[in-house]
Amino acid sequence: MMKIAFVGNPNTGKTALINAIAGSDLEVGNWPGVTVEKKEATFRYGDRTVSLVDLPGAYTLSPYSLEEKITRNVLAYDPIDGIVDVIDATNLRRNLYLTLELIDMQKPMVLALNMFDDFTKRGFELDVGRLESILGLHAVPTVASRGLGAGKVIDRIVDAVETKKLPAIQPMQHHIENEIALLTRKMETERLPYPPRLFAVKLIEGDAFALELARQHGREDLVGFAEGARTRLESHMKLPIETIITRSRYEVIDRILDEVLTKPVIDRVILSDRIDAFVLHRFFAFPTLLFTMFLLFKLTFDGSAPLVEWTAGFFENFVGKYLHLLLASYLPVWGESLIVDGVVGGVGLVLSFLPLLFFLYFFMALLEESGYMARVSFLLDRLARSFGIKGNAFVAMLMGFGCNVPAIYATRTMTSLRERVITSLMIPLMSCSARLPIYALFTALFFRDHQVMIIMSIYLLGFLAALLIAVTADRILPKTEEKPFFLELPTYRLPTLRAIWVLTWPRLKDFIIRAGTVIVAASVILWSVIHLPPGTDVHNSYLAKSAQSVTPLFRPLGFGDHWEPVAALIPGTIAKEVVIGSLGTIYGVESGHPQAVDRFDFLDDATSQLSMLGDAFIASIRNIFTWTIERENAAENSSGLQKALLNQFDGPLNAYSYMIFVLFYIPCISTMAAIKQEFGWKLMSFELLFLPLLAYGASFLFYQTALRIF
Amino acid sequence: MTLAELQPKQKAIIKSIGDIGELKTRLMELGVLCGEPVQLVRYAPLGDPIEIRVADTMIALRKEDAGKIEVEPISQLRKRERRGVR
Repeated sequence: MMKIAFVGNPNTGKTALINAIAGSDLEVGNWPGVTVEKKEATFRYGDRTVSLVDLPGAYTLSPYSLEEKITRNVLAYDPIDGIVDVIDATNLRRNLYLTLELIDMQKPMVLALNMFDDFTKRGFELDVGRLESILGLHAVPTVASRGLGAGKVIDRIVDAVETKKLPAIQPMQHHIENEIALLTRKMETERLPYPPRLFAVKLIEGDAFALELARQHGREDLVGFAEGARTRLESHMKLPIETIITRSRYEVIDRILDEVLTKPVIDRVILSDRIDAFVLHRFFAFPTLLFTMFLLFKLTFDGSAPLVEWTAGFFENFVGKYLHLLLASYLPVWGESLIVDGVVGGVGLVLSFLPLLFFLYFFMALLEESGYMARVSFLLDRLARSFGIKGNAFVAMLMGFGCNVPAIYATRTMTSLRERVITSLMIPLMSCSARLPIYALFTALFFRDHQVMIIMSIYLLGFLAALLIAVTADRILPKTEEKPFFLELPTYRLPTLRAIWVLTWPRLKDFIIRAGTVIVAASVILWSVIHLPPGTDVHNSYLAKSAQSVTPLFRPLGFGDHWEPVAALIPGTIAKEVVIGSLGTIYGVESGHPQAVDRFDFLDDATSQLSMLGDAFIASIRNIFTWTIERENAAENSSGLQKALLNQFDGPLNAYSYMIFVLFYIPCISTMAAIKQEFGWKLMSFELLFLPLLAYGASFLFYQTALRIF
Repeated sequence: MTLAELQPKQKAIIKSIGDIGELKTRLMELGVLCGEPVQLVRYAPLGDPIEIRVADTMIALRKEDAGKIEVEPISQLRKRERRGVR
């Protein structure tokens, strides 16, 4: 199998290019999100299998963040057959720095000149043929967001690997080249993991990784010789070694660009500058940020509401009804109940929130792709500094609103373990999309007129609590050596629908897969604990008994009178998606079968479902473009679940207290697993103890205070 | 004069980069080299960090680090050149 690594600076469109090549075959690595880990896609090219490795963005091969380290390590240790260097054509000079380092690896290589449409639009001209002959490789103009040039890139790289065509070394000043030559000669005797030329340069630069590698292979002599080379160069040129090497690289780059690049007379990214003049303006910046956040939630919530309602109805009134009809004749009553109430009830409820997630992921991807997220880091860095973290921590937290799991992995963009730990302590308090349906359900019942406001207040509460935790953690955790803050503000780009889809779809898919696996399993287990021991009604079930024993504990929190809501929280530790499903199952069982089905007309029902879907779409679009939303009266067409909840919660205060508890207690086992993987058992155990206590404390404080005020 | 002391929109030439740890190498790799022109684009609304432009790249840095980068404003350079001519 041929293994091709895709490497490039951040924001150059690597993922979009791989997606354009491999299409839906892209096997997303561990978790969806921006590239926070290497991801692989395998696909058939002619009669061979090619594996494409999508690596996190890196400016150079001397890593600054953990992400860049991942890229460097994969290039150093993995058996890579060829490299596709994806570069932003509109910023050739900076992008070529990494290209030169990659050329020093001496592997078959192809250059993808991405964003070539912007490049020509801005009036640049490039002699691609000349560039190819200088660098000794093929260069392909691409527009990855529209899939242009993708096919040619893969043709060229497969060809380069097959013909073993190596790129041409770009020599630096001859003093440096002499030292490199001497050093590489010393390596010829044995195989070292790093390619000799790059290894030599990195040793001379004094790169910690290269020095360590040499020592590991018992080549203390290389370290000593590199030190000698460094002092010779420094004393000869009277400059520090970093300056000597970087300047020398840029001399090479400028020489190449002189030959191949024609710049327009006036080149300014006027639009991007103008947007920044407003978005980063002294007075307008924060209102813009808040407005953007508000818009994100308003559009997500209002836009999806009619569709969510339709999907829920579809599962309850259509799928449930006909499955019941279909299965009743084949299965015993308990078997039919397991499928209709357990599986369809649980999974159907979860899937009904798919439209909501689609909207949320869509708008998040829009923010990521456009370049606004980097501005968020820039605006909030000053605030973050007070907590010993950097602006990018807020970006990870924003991602946490989508899903906590990729947010934990996103801390890899940070530079120190301390920052990562502080940020990871904050992330579970960001209300992920799985918690949103719970808020949605409760606010729809108890806060009809201020639904968006109440939900925003829960998000804000989580955010403020996170800040409080950060301050505390910053005080307690021992101070460590920090790398200074640094951030590139990329040019704004209007993302194509295709580019947004590339980010949205894997996340949705992940949700559906989870709904189909973890949640089906949880629903079945839940159904069992409700129906066991055999022959009992729900009040004597295992779940009821265990929940009943702890329910009084929740009385000071305002929801300790009935065991059902407490019981639903237990499976909620597995995944928050399960909470609503559990409530549905528990109450569904309690209310018995309201299956007073009078008529079965499949065609008639199907067409009426379709026309209702059409209405939902229209309502959804109307909601996006209007500010006031008339909601239908819930009392008439509310489900059994809603009626039961209205019965069991005394009022809005109790519901709000429940929402606070949901906000703070353990987000899900996947997040806990991610914390364990990234930081070990200790931090995970701490979270497992701390989060439930926090949830209890916060709900207690809220409910008791509110009781005295209202 | 240091990079942190420039006015918004002011341009300068980089003179020397002081001790800012590993950030020094990173900035140089991104093209922030002695002798290169640099522009302070803006201060963040909260006063820190600052945004600078080097070649076609926009980079954000904290003031404490930018304060260790010595620069010579272009207007002053021009003045000195004119004086030199006289």
